[in-house]
Amino acid sequence: MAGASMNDIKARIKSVNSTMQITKAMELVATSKLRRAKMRAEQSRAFGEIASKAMRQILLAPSVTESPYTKKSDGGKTCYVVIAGDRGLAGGFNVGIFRTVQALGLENACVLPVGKKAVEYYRGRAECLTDAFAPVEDLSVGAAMRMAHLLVRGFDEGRFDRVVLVYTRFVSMISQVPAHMELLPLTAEKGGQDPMTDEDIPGLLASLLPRYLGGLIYGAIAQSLAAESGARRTAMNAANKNAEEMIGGLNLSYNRARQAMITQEITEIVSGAEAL
Amino acid sequence: MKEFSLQIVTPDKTVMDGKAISLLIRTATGDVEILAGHTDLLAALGTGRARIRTADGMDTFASVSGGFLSVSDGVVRIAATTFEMASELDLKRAEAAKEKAEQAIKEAKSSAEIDLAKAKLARALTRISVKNMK
Repeated sequence: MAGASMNDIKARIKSVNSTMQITKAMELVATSKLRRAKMRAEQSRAFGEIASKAMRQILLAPSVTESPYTKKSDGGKTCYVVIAGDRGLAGGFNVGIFRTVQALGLENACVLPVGKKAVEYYRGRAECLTDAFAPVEDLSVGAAMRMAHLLVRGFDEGRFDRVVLVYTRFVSMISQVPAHMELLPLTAEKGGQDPMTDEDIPGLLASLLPRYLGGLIYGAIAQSLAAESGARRTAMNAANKNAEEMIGGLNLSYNRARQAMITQEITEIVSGAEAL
Repeated sequence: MKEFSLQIVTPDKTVMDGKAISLLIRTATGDVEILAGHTDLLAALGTGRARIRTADGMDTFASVSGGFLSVSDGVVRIAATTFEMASELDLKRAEAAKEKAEQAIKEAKSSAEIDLAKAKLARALTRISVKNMK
């Protein structure tokens, strides 16, 4: 009896150990990816700042209200740009994003999924614009620009009249928060003047809009990638701790079982000797 | 000549954050040259060549495709989709892209495809001309 259960415990220790080897390796990979992704996210910030500042100047101009891109949504479809990851095992990273979209409301909406997980999740669940942006990890600036053009075209054709970007904000190494941002329509602001420019404001807005959206989407992708690595590192770190704890407990049971067997054998020998 | 602050960024990196005495760049409505003391300006960039002249009289050429040009309070800021200095351009790649784009224009079926291929061709031609500047 004791021998059999000792073998069982041994087998379990071995299995937990090999799982821990995997989670440890994944933690290391996530840590090194996180460093790179964090740098990328920081480098993408400057573009967003400059582009947003220029965009604000345009939105403050009185004549901007003539642009179709500032027209308020009137019950048309919403298009969600959902940025998730390519792989699981990152704690609640992917689920958190899908839940955020769900909370925003998927009725009367279509989705532009970005990342393998998002493409898989929304296939059959919602109307998808395209599933061409599956691996999010190696999406370039060009790909973000293609997305922006796709969105602007859909908006022009009246397929939807509102665009919302849903991504995970990289707050810090240990904190990642699902967030959403209204991309279209833009909100005209009051109290400004027309900036000095060679073009008329609606025309300027139309030619800048795809670049602006592309830059924002690229920034969101960069942040989301950093957040994914961060979430995975945290999840794998917790898994390692659990595995260590389990192995500790199993070792204890193993030693107890071994001790019990030795005690039993001694008792048997002693009582056998007494019988002689 | 007087210097002004010039900041150039693309979505994936900061290309330049320094000073220059002149910036020649293609906007959607034509080429503009910006010198120190330029009035506030906001413009969309086109696809084309840019020339940055620094105080030592050195010219740097670059290939630009689309983005924002903003001049405010004497600071010039550029947020471009791509901004490649001549030194980082690959002539062979640009020529291959040019041939591919020309092929695509011949085979294009819709007007959207033609526009896309034409934009690609314009970028490739700009890259080649920038690379051949020096």
